[in-house]
Amino acid sequence: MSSVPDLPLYDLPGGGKVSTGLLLPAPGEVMVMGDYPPDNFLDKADIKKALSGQVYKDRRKRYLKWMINQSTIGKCNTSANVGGYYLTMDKHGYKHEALADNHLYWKCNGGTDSGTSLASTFNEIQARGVSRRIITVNGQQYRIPDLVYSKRQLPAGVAEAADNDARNFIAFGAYKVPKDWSGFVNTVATATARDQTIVWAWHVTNAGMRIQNGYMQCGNGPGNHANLIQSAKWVDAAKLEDCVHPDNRNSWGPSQDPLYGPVGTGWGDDGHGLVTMQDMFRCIKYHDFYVITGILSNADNSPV
Amino acid sequence: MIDLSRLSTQPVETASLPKSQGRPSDSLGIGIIIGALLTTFSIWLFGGFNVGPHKDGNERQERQHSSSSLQGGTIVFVADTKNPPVWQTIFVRDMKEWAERHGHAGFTWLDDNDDPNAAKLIEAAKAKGVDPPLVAYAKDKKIIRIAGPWTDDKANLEKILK
Repeated sequence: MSSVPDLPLYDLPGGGKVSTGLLLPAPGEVMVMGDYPPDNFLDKADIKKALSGQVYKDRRKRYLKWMINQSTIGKCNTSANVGGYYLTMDKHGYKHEALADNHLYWKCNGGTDSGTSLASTFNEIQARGVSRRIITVNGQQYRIPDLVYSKRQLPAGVAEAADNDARNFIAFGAYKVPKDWSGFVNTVATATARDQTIVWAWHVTNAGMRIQNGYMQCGNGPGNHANLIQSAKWVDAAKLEDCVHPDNRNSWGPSQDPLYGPVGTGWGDDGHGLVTMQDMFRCIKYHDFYVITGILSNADNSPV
Repeated sequence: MIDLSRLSTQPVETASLPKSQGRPSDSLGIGIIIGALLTTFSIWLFGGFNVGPHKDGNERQERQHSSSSLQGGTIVFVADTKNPPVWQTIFVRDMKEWAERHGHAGFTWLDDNDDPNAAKLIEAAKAKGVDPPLVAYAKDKKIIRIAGPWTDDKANLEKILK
């Protein structure tokens, strides 16, 4: 599969190419959800209690097995959402299911590998869900190839079967991250302390391919890449914004299993990098970030 | 999903535990609960009361006991998942890890406000005088026991899991 020429590719330090794929929201394109309620904010002592020690490293280790590699197609947005779905499913005790992030992608991209906005992806997963990677088509198991970005690339009947399967994995409970600095800091700190994930945007340049002393290098720009904050590192400091260092889960590998994308290459610390609150805040005026607080799964993967 | 038909027709047993201490927002009560919970859970988990030469033997005995009678089901925790106090997040992390290590099918956290699986469970628990946060035990997708809030000691936990 090839990408359309206007979607840039970046070189990973260890070899391999990856894409981004986040677009600015179209005029009038909105996500219907409220801001994270200020009444829900935890105080600093509680946040410290929840994030101190090796918490973010433990989560990295636990969830490495489901690390996604979007490779050369622009499905970053849907990979971030599916990553959030994985971690939330696990938190609530649901049996893991490998999901086809590119099913969600082809539903939102108009049939071309040209990226999607956060709003379009969120609205699609709320309305129609995301299918499993392995689905049943005409009585046979079929594995959706991970680099497909248009249903026209699939055999007859697969896209319809995927749409039907997607009804099993539908909807998030989500709140927007407030766009004012204080609300932003308190929301990110509180959500990470609660093991809630955050879909967010940053701007990738060539420098962003490497992390420096464990930290991401975010470029100046409106944000061309969506990722998932999955935890945070606690550092003692006077101000809350300096204490909480969010931990980013990228979608550039290293995948541990081909179900989650091409294996063999990866970014950062096994796919992760820390980010400062200040860097995380850079692109929020252009995109609505959101906290995933729960999921609705209709599949028979509930433990009870 | 919980087999609601079975839940509604089968008597639900309640462990002999103290009545609910109230919602998490009741700060004093919950403070006591948190302390007791974390302390007893940590002691139980790490064998804190076992000292000297008997420690290894006791731990081995506990593991053997755990592997024989406390296996195969799912521990169900019902509480607010969107706005939980921090102790619940820590509790969920610990219990999930504990459940996996002790051979349970899992540990699940259902929202007491809008999870349809939780609603019937809460209804049954309230009939027994227990409010969330509560702990139950399920096997084969069927709730087989409802306990009170997780404030008790190892003996009560074993009652839940047997």
